[in-house]
Amino acid sequence: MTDPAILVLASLAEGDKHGYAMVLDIERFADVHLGPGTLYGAITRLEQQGWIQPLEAEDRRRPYRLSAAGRGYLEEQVRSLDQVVKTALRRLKHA
Amino acid sequence: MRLAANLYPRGWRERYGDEFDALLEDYEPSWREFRDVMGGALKMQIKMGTGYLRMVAALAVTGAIIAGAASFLAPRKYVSSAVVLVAPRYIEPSVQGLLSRTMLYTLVFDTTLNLYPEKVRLTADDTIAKMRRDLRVSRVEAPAPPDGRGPEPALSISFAYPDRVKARAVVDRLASEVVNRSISIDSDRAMMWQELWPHVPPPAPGHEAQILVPGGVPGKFSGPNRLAFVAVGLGAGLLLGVLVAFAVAQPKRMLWLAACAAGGAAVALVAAFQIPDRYTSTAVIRLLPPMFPERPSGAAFAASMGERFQRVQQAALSRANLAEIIQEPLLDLYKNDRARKPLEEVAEKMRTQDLAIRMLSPPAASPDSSFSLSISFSYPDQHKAQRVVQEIEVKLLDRWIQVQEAMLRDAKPGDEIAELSRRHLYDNLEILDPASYPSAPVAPNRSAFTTGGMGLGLLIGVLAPRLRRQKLQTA
Repeated sequence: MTDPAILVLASLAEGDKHGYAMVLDIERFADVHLGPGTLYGAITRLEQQGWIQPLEAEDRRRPYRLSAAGRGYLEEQVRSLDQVVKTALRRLKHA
Repeated sequence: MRLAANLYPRGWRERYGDEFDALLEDYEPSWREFRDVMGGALKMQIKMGTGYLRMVAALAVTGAIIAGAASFLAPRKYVSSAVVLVAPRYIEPSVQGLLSRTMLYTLVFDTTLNLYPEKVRLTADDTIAKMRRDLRVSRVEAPAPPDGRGPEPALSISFAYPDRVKARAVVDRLASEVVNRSISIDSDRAMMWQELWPHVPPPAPGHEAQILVPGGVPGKFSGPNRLAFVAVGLGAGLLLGVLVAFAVAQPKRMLWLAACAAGGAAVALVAAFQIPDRYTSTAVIRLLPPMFPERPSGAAFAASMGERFQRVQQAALSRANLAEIIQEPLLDLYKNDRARKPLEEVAEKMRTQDLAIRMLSPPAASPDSSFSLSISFSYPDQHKAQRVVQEIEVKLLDRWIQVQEAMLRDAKPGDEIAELSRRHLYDNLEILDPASYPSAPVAPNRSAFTTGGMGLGLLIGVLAPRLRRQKLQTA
């Protein structure tokens, strides 16, 4: 699971964060390093979809918040992924 | 990284610029992050409408600038030119003579000139072809002389070479060759006239060959054509821009098309390697003008040299003659074809497909005009290709001599033309370039095969998904 958009949504599910805080969080929970171009490509797309909301900037660093629609989308994606993971594990046990 | 961040579209920077710059301050600068920012900027440019056009334009301009700069690194060539006034009847033979392989071979391998140092790694024929591209020999109008006569035809010789002194030396050498040859023919002509008709005053010799404008040491260099360089760079940049835009916008489709193109090229290349190599040997023969065109010509000579020679050529290349060459034990050509087809058919195939006779200068109606023609033969074996061209040259010469002898038999005693022919002065068939030994194959053209295969692969890549969609819709 290395889709930057899902990783950003998963990071924001914990709470509001600015760009570099997201990068550090993602590195910690997913062991994936996001470059600045990749991160802001995902942020731009997610904001356009209405899945994240920009907050007031603090010292030029702008935090983002997960919107209700974003939460719904993330839940849907995680459920689908969960099903894939469970199926794969079951099949691996029987193999 | 800050520099790369400026490549993002203006609209995007207005919204995210500040926070993005702040984020970059938190990152440890590295090539990996720089590439990431560059990639992000490119994608954003493409996604934001006009940014796409700007990116294509920027790549086109960059291509043009790089090509323009490269044009300054391309080797400069200096062009030296000379104009030689020569009797009109010698102009065409001079053009053919100066551009002949024999003449150029002499110049290329002249140790005092030491032209084209790269000849050590090229074949002689490749070096000669290179020199032929740098040499221009053409008919021009010389300025009208002050005695009131109109402008006279002359010969212009120009040569482009990176060394200006050598460029001039080559032009001088060629101009002198034209003058010396013309003087030598005129002097032989006068001597023979005296011997044949001691009591008849010779006709006016016409103007003497002379160098009107000698080859100078060129001060200015010519080329490379910077405009053409810039245009190519612009085009290449545009193409690259469109491809990059397409790759970013539709990466999967681009990957599919690239795979189709690569597959097509690979299949075509494999097919090209299955076809045996073919080598072409070429020779040039020339029919020189008669030395005494002013003398009366008999009925037997009414037809122009060109017409007579064409008849000779047809006879020499008859199916029977070609069949004889095919069956010659040393050659033993078209073995497989002969096992399956009658010999006549094989000879016809040889004449229509592998043998080419091309007029280099068309025979004019005038009986004193000269012309030359090239004989080429393509075959999988280079020794045999050369040998066949030699055989054809011999057959043409033999046939030509037979025709001359037949005319002499019919001539009345005291016929001047017959006398001239007997002395080989009337007209003469000459081998300008002997049959070449082909060192490199001319076919199959593997790069053309690869390009064609690539194009076909692309076409399939474009059409196949459409056909599949149509099929699904109708199902």
